[in-house]
Amino acid sequence: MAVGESSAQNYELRDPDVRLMLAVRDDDAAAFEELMLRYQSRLVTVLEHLVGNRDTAEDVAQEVFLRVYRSRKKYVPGSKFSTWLFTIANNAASNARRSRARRKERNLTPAVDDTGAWGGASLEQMAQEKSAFMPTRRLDKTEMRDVVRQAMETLNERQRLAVLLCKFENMSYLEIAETMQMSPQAIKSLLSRARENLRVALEPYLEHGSTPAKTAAVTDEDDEAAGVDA
Amino acid sequence: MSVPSEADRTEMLERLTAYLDGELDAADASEVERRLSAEPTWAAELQRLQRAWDLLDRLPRAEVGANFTHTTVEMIAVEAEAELVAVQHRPARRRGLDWVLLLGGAVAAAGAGFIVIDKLRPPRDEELFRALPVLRNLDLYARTETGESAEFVKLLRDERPLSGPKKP
Repeated sequence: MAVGESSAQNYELRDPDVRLMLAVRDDDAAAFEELMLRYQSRLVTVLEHLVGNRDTAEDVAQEVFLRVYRSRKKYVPGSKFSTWLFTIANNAASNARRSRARRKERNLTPAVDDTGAWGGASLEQMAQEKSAFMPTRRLDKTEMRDVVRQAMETLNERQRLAVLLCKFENMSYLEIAETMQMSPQAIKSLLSRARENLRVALEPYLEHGSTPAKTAAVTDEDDEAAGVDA
Repeated sequence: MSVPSEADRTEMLERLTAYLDGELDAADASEVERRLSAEPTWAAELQRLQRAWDLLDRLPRAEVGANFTHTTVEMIAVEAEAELVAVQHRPARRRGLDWVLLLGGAVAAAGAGFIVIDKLRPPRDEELFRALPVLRNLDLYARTETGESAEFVKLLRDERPLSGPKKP
């Protein structure tokens, strides 16, 4: 994408991370380290939810930083630095998921957890187990965290990424749209459906503490059927 | 409140989400607020959406350790070293390339010069062809008596077989 000179200058003025990346372009090693320190934890947080486990998330994050370094000489500020970085991260995560899917196909293990995340029981199973034995007990902090994780797993990949960028990165719809290469209107629909799905998955825990909701992971095809197109 | 159609519900949910995310302009936000105060069902829906959203704060944020930073920096250092080696080897390769280019240029210049000279030079065969009548009778001319020489020289001057076409 061609980036206008005034647009590039605009981002350079407004975004300190863009200025750091321009220093990286000029082979400033300290600037690169500073960018790494600013983004490594944020990147791993988002990637952990996208690829399903911490080790893979760290591997993908390192791949992202390597890609940033390799492309430094061609860098022209066409968006906020974080938008550019998470676009790279999204592509790297997609590649990692595809590789994992190919490995799964080769292994043909029947008991593979399809979500690939944090293993164990589904949201529904977890809630049923807890409600069967302790129907009125409030979930403790760890249990609640696991419930929320499982609720996130009910979202498809696009909804999950949009939620993570909105919630954790405080990105605007426009920035999420740039990162995910979709239109802002599509992001609005995507986030609306994601919030609704989360509400359905988590409502039993909000209202009653233990009664499970019937939830099933949605797919990208569900979004397409609902008219959420890029 | 009448039950909204699926399309109306979807549209209103999108507006509520955008309202919660601060993505509506002032006019649209006011319109949503008006509907929320007039329709308690939507107000309750908004609260449920927000409570579910707030639960995402329970998700842990990753804190990567010094080991991650260290190994990433090492990876970048290896990459940088590979780049440096490539740059250092570039002049030697460049010199070799320069010699090849120079040689190629010399061959091309020589070829071009040959073609130009060949075009400018009068064709040798044509010159011989013009002199052919004289060459055929060269032995005869050599045996000519002295008294006939003057006439022969005159003939040569008029014919000028070696000097191109005869002037009118």
